[in-house]
Amino acid sequence: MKSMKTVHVGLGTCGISAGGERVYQAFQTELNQHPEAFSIHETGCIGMCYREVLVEIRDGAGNSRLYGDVTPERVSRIVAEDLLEGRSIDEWLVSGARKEADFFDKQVRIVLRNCGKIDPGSVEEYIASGGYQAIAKVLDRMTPEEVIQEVLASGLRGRGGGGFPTGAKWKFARAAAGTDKYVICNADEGDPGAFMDRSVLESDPHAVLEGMMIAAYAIGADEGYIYCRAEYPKAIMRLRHAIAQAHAEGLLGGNIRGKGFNFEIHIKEGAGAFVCGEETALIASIEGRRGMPRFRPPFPANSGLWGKPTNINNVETFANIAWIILNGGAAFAAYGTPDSKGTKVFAMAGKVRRTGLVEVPMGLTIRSLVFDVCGGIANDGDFKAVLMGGPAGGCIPADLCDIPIDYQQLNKTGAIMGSGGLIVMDETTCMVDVAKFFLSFTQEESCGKCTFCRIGTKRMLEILERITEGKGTEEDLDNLTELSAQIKSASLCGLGQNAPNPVVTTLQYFRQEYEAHIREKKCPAHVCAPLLVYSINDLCTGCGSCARTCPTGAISGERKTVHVIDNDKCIKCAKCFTVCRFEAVTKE
Amino acid sequence: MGEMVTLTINGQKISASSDQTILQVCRTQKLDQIPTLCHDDNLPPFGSCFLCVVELEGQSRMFPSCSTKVAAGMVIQTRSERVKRARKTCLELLLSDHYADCFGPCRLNCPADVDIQGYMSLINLGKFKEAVALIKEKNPLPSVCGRVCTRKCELNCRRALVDDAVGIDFLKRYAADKDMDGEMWRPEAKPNNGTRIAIVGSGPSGLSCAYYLALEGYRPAIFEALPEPGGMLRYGIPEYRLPKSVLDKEIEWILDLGVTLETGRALGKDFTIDGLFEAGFKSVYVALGAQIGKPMQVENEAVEGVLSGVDFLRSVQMQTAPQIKGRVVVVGGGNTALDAARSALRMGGDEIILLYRRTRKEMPANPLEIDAAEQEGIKMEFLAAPVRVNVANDRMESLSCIRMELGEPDASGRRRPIEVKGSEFTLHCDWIISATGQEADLSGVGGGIKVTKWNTIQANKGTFDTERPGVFSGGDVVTGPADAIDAIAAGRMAARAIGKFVSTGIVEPLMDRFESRRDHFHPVTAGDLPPLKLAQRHSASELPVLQRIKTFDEVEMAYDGRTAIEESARCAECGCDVGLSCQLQDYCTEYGVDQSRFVGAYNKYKVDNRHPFVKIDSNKCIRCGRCVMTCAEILNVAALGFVNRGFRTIIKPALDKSLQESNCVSCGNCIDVCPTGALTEKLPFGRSGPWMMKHVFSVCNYCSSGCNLTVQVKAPDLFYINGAAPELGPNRGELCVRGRFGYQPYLSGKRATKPMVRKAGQLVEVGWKEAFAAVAEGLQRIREDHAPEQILVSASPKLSDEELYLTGQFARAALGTNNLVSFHHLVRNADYHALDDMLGATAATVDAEELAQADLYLFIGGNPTAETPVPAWQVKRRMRHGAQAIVINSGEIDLTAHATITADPRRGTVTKLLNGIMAELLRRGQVDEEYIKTHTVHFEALRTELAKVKLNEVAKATGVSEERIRAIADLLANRSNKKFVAWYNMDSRIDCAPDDLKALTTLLLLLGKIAVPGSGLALFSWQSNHTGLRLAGFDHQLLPGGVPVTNAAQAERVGRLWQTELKNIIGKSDSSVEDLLNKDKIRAAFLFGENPAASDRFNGLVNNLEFLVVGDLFLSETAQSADVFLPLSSYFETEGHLTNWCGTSQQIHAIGDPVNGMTTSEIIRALARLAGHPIMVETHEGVSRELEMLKLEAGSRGRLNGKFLTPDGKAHFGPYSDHALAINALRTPVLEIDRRMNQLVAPIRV
Repeated sequence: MKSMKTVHVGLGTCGISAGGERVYQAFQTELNQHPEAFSIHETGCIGMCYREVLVEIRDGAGNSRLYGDVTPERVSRIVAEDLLEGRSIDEWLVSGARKEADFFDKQVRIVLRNCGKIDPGSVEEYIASGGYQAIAKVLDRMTPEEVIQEVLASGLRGRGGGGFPTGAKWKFARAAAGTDKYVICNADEGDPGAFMDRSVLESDPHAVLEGMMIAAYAIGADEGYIYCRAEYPKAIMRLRHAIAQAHAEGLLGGNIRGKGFNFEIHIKEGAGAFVCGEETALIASIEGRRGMPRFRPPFPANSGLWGKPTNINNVETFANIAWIILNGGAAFAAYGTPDSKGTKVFAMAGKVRRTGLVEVPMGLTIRSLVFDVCGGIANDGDFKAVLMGGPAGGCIPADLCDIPIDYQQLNKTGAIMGSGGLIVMDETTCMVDVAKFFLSFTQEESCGKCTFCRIGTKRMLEILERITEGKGTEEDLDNLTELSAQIKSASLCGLGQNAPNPVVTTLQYFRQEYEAHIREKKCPAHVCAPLLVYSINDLCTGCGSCARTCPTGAISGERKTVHVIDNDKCIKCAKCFTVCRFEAVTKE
Repeated sequence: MGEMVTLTINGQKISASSDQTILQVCRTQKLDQIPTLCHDDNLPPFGSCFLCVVELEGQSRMFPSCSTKVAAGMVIQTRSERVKRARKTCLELLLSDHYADCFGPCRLNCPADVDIQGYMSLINLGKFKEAVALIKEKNPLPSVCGRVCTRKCELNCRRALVDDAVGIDFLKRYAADKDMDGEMWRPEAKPNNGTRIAIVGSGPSGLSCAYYLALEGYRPAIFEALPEPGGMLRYGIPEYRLPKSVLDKEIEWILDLGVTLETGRALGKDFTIDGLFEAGFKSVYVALGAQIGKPMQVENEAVEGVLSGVDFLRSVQMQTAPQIKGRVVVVGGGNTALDAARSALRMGGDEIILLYRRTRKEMPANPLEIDAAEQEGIKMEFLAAPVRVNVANDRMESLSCIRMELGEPDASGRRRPIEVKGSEFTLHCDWIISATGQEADLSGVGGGIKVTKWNTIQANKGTFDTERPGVFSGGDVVTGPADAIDAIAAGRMAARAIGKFVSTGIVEPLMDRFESRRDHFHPVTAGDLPPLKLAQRHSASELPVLQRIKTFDEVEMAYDGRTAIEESARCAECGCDVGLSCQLQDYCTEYGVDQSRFVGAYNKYKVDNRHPFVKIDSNKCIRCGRCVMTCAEILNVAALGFVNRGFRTIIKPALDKSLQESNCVSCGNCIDVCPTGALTEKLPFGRSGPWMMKHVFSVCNYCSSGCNLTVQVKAPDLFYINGAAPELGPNRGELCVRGRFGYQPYLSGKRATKPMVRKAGQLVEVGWKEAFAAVAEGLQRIREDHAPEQILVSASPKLSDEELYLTGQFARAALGTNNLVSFHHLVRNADYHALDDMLGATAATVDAEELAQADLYLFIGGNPTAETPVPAWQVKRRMRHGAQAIVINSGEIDLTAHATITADPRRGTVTKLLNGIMAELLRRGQVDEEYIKTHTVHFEALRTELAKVKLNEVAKATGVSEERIRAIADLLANRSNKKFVAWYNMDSRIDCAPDDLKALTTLLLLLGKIAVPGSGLALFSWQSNHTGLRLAGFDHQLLPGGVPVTNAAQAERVGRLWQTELKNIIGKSDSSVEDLLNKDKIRAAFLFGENPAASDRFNGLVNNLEFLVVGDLFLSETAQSADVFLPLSSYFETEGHLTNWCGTSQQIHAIGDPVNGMTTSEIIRALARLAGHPIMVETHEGVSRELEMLKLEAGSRGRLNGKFLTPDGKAHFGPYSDHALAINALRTPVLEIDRRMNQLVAPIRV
């Protein structure tokens, strides 16, 4: 029998927000007319978020075509030409006219192995793609010590940002005295611009569950928690569904696979506090207390949830585990650098051509990631810097971007690997403004416990605000430096210890931008509104629309003559700049 | 216990246990008192303030020493520059969001730093002596200053933003004058150390310096050139402003401290500084003042008829002034000019004209003085300056002047006067007095002392030392002419510097005290003040103008008492409630913090006054979290928590509730742990001070827990309470609402402090003598008509051990009656002798330590966390850390939620339930047979009885399922619970049957858990000294020592001490007091601290008596029926002991003399004397010793510790009733103070 074609619509949050559900419905409508022609399936995110809605047509013989930017209007043509007639519509293929096949060339997909490929709601598809074989192998043939050995051999380090060797963490938790141990999956992904974990949970939830099961077996835990932010409803829905399926398959619950291994997983929804991504705060939150970090030691491995030994890893870390067990630690360690093994998922954002999710082997250079994988800078801008590691990360200037992606190398620049948020900046980005943006985020999200973090970050933010308003002084730079050092040195948790990083690194690499704000009262990137000077050039046709839109009457001029802006009256609202159709209004 | 490790702290090698934190090691080994705001020894490390950071070698980060444990090989720096800088920044960050004032702006503007707010409140509370003592900490001349001060404080008074400044200076004068009227307050000076210090000049600076040196034990000697002391106060300020009698009194008071004074001795003429050193003086303070008038610098000013202001004033005082008449022109705009003008008027001047080159606004003189001068008719010629004195006949005949106009402001901020060309005019006059400034006469100072170009002595700021070692100088001679208060301030600070110098040879300035100020954030306006009722300033009345211009009588009159109270109430109390004891402020001073370094946004909150006892001022909160942790960890209450995130993080009750709407139990422990003024007690005085208090350690007088506490005392009727230092008592500083706030009824002002006697049906206040005479008369009448056993003596179980012992002696030895009773006991309907037959005494068998360390608890009836909260909290903590508990209670109590098993039997069926449990244990053979064999008798009878008990019947009767009964038995029988304590409160009667305690004790005996280490019975009472009452023998069945009256040997001993044949007296009482009352056998009664009339059952008593004497603190219902009322001294005025529930006798201390005039013990002794029994021990120590000896000889202790007091030394199982009978004890506490406390806490959850 000739196998039927299948249609896979990307319905991760990215696909949905691009209109995936309407595309899905359009296929559904078509299907009603051609019930024999194809079947429709849901899938997760494949990473090309910039091309959503993505629709993949598979012919059942291992061939597939991937259409990007699909709209409901395009569906009937896809059905007519591709599904019914077997002709590809080349101009809509992602690998077609826009030559983007190279998006995948340098990627190595371990964590994202199933993402965008299988139906995340189907345990059968997960199993069919090799899922739950690792836990079977572990239960059937491996001792907990062997599991830990394998993870140690892989060189896997915590992907949540800390980068602590996962195997070693498990070893501590296993060695910790006491019964009633816990495994916690940290799915409290809070960095602005980061969505790696969400995508994995939405696209391949079972991979995370399987990783947790293996961890539980390895350390001797029989209860697990997934701490997921409530802002990820789709992920939570997928997880609940997956947990129920795993129960039905006998993979969760008591005496799993008859091996005497018991394991339950609970979902705890976080209430949106960024600091709850910090492990001790996360534990406090699960226990029903305010999410506030505490001093370590004792580490959770010895005294975690309810004071019991607890192992916490993040989503991406767990998603690697099954692959490592099945393929061996050595296979994983074959990727990467001596210091950093395997792959890393990055959420690409900012002024880069291809935004989305990519998984690359460690050791690739940042430049290669930006240019080869992600197609370079959007609008042909100049590559200025990347910010890695979210609000607690740091800026790496373009001229340092030939370093390989590697924990140690990144730390040397003052940035951190972080959980994988990567923001690309071009010459239109003001580095002081960037630092201000991230600091205002961490300041708002400080739990308020430590003096330096609670008040110090506020004072730093106020200094940055002054600088971007042209009211900064040279002394402010010294105060920023000193406060940065002290906040980093005297805060309990990673939030406070890393909050000054964006300021520290931008001061280190882009000090001249700060100085321009202070000395010349200029924002070189033309971003900081209070420092901009608007003027009208010869391109002005005298149409008068700028003068009409100006709220303070700062623009004057006869009809059909070049208009003039009175800078004493100008409040820099940029309305004239926006309204001018002749590029006659300039700002600098 | 961690292992011992070796490490290095500040270069010193030490060893310490690895389970200690760096902070603990540094503090316990006295290496460094590391600063911290969030750390609390009673709590697990929290680590929020980061003030305690230290450097660890090899680590780039710094570590909070409160949370970091020591480890082998650590190299720690606790005071490096980096550490100090981090701490300073930490404090500066905290202070940048600390929108609060340490002190009121009045104090900040006072050169002498007088605690104005403090003395305003003391005056308001009528504490004039205390107010004067407080002022004199900084200013020894308050009566003088109260008249002549320039009142910089008032210029800064925030009250002026709303209406008018507070009349601070009037109030100072009022308090000081009042003090002078009687016996003046005397400071306590340190013993004379023999070191002599010379002071040159007896003006305000010299006097002040002498005073403070004398207080420190030095021997100051003042040398004065003029005939009398006082300097400018005497010779510069006219009599009508400062009567010299006032000055004389204050000088005399200073001299009385051992200060010597030699007048008529001028420096340079009669002696030299060299000579002083040669004569043995160790240091010299030069305070010559500035009393030479500066010339006007105009032509001819040295002719006759031109006087200098200071010379003129001096001559008036010395009565050598020339005859003044006609027109007088006074040149100048300062206080001297005004004094000269007003004096000239009084000396006979007909027309006085004041010539000043600027306008009234710029006049440096005190505005009040300018007003007064104008009222007296002195004319002001502004914007005019002298140019030339015109001479005729060798005498001045007129003054040429020129008009001025004001130009740009000069350095002083005043606009510079400029001559108006061609505007000369001439003033014809008879006298010219020039008062355009003064300077010092330094001719006699001699070499080695540097003089400035302004002709002042060069002395260092803050240290007052001159170029010449050992010579210090201050006052006008250094600063040029200034105010008296500046000179006084200089004198005090110089005294400190001199003291330091002569004792150590070091000259160093005092570190500037840190002061948080709201005006560092923004100028304070009326809107920033708490709501104030508008009230105009009270002005002091003045002598009528017509009257005063003819004499030198004092112009300004003093406030009267009522005005003083009203005016002092106008003080808005701008300063912080903990302004004198703030940890944050101390650290800020230590680290030299600049509050303005990080200017920016700040949080501003409304002060929350809604809780009846706790004030929350979040502006002062530093988010250290100690209150949050205390509430959560120690009390398990968690009424307070962190709310919001980031810079807006704040500590408050959740969900924007007020504190009393939260689950707050009003214990106030958060107040004690708050390192700033964010959480403070709302004091009951209407004023919050703050004042420096005397700390008196004592014991709480409410329940039997015996919590230690600290009484903070300013005066016998001005005190409050907080927790004692943790190391001092079993409560580790914790207190409950009663312990902490229960003092308030004592201060309610409703206390009866005068004896009263019934006259014509009415109680009338009388003196003690008359009251005692009335007692004697009544007693005689009763004795004539009735037998001694018809007299009743009752005492409260809140009296001290000694008072109870004496009261018992009074009853038995003086009156010859054995009718001793506590109505408190009668009302509770409990059997306070329940275990006498079983164990030999009805007493606890465990101590506080054992109670806190058990691993299984059994709670029967009552509600421990409400009745005896502090030990109950301790047990609750123990339960949270793994101890198991059985709660048997018909209702749900706080502990229910923490129990392992609960049972809710029907009311009155607890005995049945216990029998069921015991029957089950017996059936299973899970009793301790060995223990029963060796420790008890009559077991077989009990076994037979219990064998009849059927579990299904028990279940039916109690409503507790068989399954649950078995589960309880399981837990009780579980051998891993080695330490088992049963908790019972004898006074908690709502859920009890009569024999619950007997059944409970039987259970403990069956399990072998009584009188063995770690296990047993914790027996509480609602009353603080229930155990003391038993041990003092204040019970018709007991003798002192707590043994039964049948103990002949003890009766013999007591009888010998009391010189009384006790046998006959104690033998006569075979029926209970209640019976006697019911049969109307009692004809007269002496009641101490008891109020039977408040109970339904005994309110008839007071009406049936022929003679009733009541001693109490308040005029209770019973007291109102008394024939004689004797006001007792309060618990706070008592020296002695209280014995807590487990028999620990703890000392209590009097905070001062009794406000009623006699202590309760003295009253009882007096009563005994008039009853013909004069042989009571006279001192409380003596009574204590006697009672202690009796206890020792009786072999009894407060609790049963390892043995029973039965004759055979064994526990006796005995029959008891298991009728399902719930007792409805009266809920009205009979003790008046309890009732008042309950009214106080009624609006809040406890």
